[in-house]
Order: sequence, then C-alpha cells, then structure tokens
Amino acid sequence: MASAGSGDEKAATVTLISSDNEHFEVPEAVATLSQTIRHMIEDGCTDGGVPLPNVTGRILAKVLEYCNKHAAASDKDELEKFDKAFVDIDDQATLFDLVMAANYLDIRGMLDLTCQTIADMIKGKSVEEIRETFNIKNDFTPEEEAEIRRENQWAFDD
Amino acid sequence: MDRGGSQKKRHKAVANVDIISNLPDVIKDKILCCLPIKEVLGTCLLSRKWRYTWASMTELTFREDDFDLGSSIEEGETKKFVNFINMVLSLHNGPILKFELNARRVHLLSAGGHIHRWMLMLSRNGVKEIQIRTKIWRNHKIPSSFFSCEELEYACLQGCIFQLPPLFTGFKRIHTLHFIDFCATENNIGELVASSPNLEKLILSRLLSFADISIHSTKLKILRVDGMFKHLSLVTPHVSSAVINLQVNTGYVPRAGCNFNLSQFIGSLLDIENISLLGHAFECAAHGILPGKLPRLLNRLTEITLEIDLGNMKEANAAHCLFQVAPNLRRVELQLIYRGYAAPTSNFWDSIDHQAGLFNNLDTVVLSNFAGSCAESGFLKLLLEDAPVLRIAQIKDNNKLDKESLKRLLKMRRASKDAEVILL
Repeated sequence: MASAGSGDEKAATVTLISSDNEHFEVPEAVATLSQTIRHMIEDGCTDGGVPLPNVTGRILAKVLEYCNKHAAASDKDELEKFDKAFVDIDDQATLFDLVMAANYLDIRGMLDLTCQTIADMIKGKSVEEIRETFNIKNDFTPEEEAEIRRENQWAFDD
Repeated sequence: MDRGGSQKKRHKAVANVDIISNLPDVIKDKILCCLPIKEVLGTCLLSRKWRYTWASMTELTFREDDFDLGSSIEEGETKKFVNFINMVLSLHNGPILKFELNARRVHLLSAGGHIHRWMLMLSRNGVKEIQIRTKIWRNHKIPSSFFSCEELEYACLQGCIFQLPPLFTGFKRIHTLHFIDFCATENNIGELVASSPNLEKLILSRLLSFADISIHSTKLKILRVDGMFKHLSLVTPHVSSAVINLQVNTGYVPRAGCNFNLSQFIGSLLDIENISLLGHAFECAAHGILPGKLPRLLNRLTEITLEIDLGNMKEANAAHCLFQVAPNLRRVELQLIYRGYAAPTSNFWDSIDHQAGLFNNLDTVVLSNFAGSCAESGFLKLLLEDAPVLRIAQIKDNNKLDKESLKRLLKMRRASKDAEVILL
C-alpha cells in the first residue's frame, strides 16, 4: 500500500520519465501498481524522477491509463469492461509493447490481461493460421518437419 | 473453433515483422500457460525458434475435459490421456512451478503407478503449486514423494487421502492447503498443519471424518471447514476469517459438551474480522458461550453469519453474548432455522434492554427463512430499535408470511431514519 498523504496535503506523487523524455507526474497510489516502481519508492531512489528507458511515452501513457483505472478499485464488472476495451487495439505492435512494459514494470494484472489476449489470438488456430497471424516464417526443411511430427506423434494423434 | 476471422482488422500485424517469436522467454512462457496444453504442443511446428518452447513451460495443466474422452471413459481413452502426460513430463526441460491434474472421471490413481512417477518427477523439479482433482471417494493415497516437494507453497487435493511419511520434516514454505472430498480416519490433517509453520490458509471442503481432528496453528489467517466430523479441536487464535459448517448424520443430536471446542475457539480469537457458523456449528458453540465466558472484546469483528434457532434459549443467549463483545459489528446475517427439540423461549428477545447499544455500528442485517415466530419477530424488533446507523434490513421469508405479518414488520419502530426494510 502506498503511503497516502494526510487529508489537506497533496498526495505523494512520483515522476516517471519515458525513453523519449516525456515526464509523467503520477500519484504514488497509482504508480505502485507497478512492483518495480513500488520497490524504488520504498528504497527511496525516486528523487528527480524515475527513468524508464524501456518504455516510450506513448506506451507509458496507456500503462498509466490502466493503473489509474485499477487503482481507483471500482467494481468488478466495470473493471472487466475496461480491461476488454483496453486490449481491443488495432495493431499488434502496441499490444506487444504493452506486454513488454507490463513485464518490465511488473504489473501483474496488466501482464495477465495482455498475455491472455495474445493467447486468445493463438487459440483454435492451425499452425499455418498462427504463422499468418504473427508473421512467423516457417524455416523448417521438409525433413525437419517430418522429424518433428514423428517425435511428437503422441501429441498429434487424434 | 475460434478462427479469429471475426476479429476483422483487430490486432493487425506489422508487415513481415515477427514480434512474438522474439519476446523474452518469460513472456512467451506466460502466453503458453494461458493455452490448453494440446494447443501448446502444436506450437512446436511453428518455426525453429518454437520447436522446444513448449518443453520449458513452467506450468503444466492437464484436464481430462481438454481431451475428447467421450462421456463414458473407456480403457483406451484413459491410456491416451495417461500417455500424453507421461510424454510431456519425460520430454519436459526445466523447472515445473505449477502442476494441475483434473481427472475426475478417469481412474488415474488406481493402476499403473503413473501418479507415483509424476509426483516423483515434480518433487525433483522444485514444484511450488500442485492441484490434483480426482474421482471422489476413491480414497487413493497420495504418493509419499508429494511430501518431498520442499518448495511447495500451495496444494489442492480432491478425493485423495494421505499419510505423512515417517521422516517428514514439514512443508516449510506452504501457505495454502485445500482439501476437498476428504475422508479422514486419523488426525493426519492436524499433523500436516502442525508441520507447516507458515500456513496461512486452510480449507477443508466436504470433509468426512471419523477421527479426532485437532488443528493448531498460530500463523493461520483464513480457516474454512465444512463437512461431517465427530470431533474437531481448533486452536487458531490469529485467524481473521473463519467459516465453520458442521453437518451431522441424521438423527444425531449434538449434546452439551459435544466433541467440538467451538466455544473456546471463539473465546480465543484475537484478530477475527468475519466469522460464519453454519449447520450445527453455532448450536454446538452455544453450549459453552455464557455471559462472562467470552473473555475479551472482538474489536475487529465486523461480520457475523450464523445458522441459528432464535427460539432456542441456549442459542439466543449465546448470540446475545456474541453481539455484546463485537462493538464494531457492521453486518449480521442469520439463517433462521427451527431445530424443534429444545424448550422454546419466546420472550428472551423482548426481555433484553432495547437501549443497550448492542448494534451501534450495524449497517446491514439479513434474515433468511424468516417465519415470523415470536422469537424471530422479537429479535427483529430489538435490532431495529437498537441500531442507530442501520441502512438495510433484508428479510427473506420464502412467501411464508401473510399480509398482516408483513405489514406489522414494516411498521416496526426504527432507530435509524435511513433504515430500509426489504422483503424478499
């Protein structure tokens, strides 16, 4: 739990600095959804801001959107609706940037959400369909592929 | 089969760039763990990078439902399922942090010794979480190598029994134990709890016990016990949340001094925040809860749920004592029942001082199975008159009350202007 400021003072904030030097001033209660940032605050090394060289400003803004909503701890249905809309993104690259950011910042809920979304893009698809979805190049030779099928025949038998 | 086509242009890929294959291993692992295991295996054909990614998955979940085994499980189908698990485990490479086996229809624990081999492998791989759900009442014994899983933090076992091996030194890291459909003929649960110094959560669902069970733990925070047991001794003074549902065989009536130390248990609680005593639990506890017997105020207690016969003198008295030591009580739920064999007392609740400040912080009360008896109406009257900040009084009568009684209910005097009486 973040240390909340007393009633009449402004709540404690922390400044996050993206890789492209955008500054975000964020209440501690929100920023501490990231375990990484939480540990930094606890260790007292947030003076002058926390540089996040692995996260661009654009992605950090989205991450904070998630943290703001979840820190406000509204009701379950509302959060579910928000999460669903949050990952309804047009391009894959952003989704992957979010999953990397969630991993780097150690935000459990967001990591679970984004990974599940990617998993849902794999579910139910054939190997060729999965390759197509993610631009995976089939670099197996026909012999290699045959060998794999033999090796894992027990898994494909149906 | 979800072909993803309905998603149209959502999650459009960047042309010719394969991001997913270059994600850090820990993320790829997490993604695979969200898929049914058969589909995970399928990824071995995607590309060279993916050939053995499946084999280092840190979580393995085998569910019979994911394998089309048909409605009547035949020998051949069982073999396929077992063989699959055998293969995955033997080809697996790396730590297995979580292992889940959901096989309630398949006769997995009987012949073949498979589960023994699997458990042995898990114990060598630093497993932290094990969930095994098997056919109930089979009473198959968990392999002793389960007790060699030194890193175990969470265990959920359904339909199994176990025996602590002689040289067992305990699960040092375990924080949650969950046993379902469990039959005990000796106090092995108690022994296991005693060897788990960091246990915080203990859940016993549908326990059937013929033994004297004794649970002692100072670190335990959450306790759930339900089932039929002939003897239960609980010494867990620091639990913050306790639910005890005591069922008994038909015809058996719990007598005074019955084999449960529930009244001492309640008296020993220091940090309790919410407590539920269902089935015959409160009836048993009531034998020992007398004025002055509860030694201290339970200041953290905010929620009480009781299955109670308000007309039974002992239970009414006990409930009154309990309310008296819970000054911060915010929610009370009573599942009303008429046990029928004790001397009824209609006037107990009327005789209590209605200005005693019994329900000073009460916000919500729920009464289920309200039959409108003298005792029940008397209690409701007392509560409404003595709860200055009451917001909601929910009364579920299962259509038992007639219009006159309902009208009388709604007309009862209330101490709190905002109190809303809801009849369901």
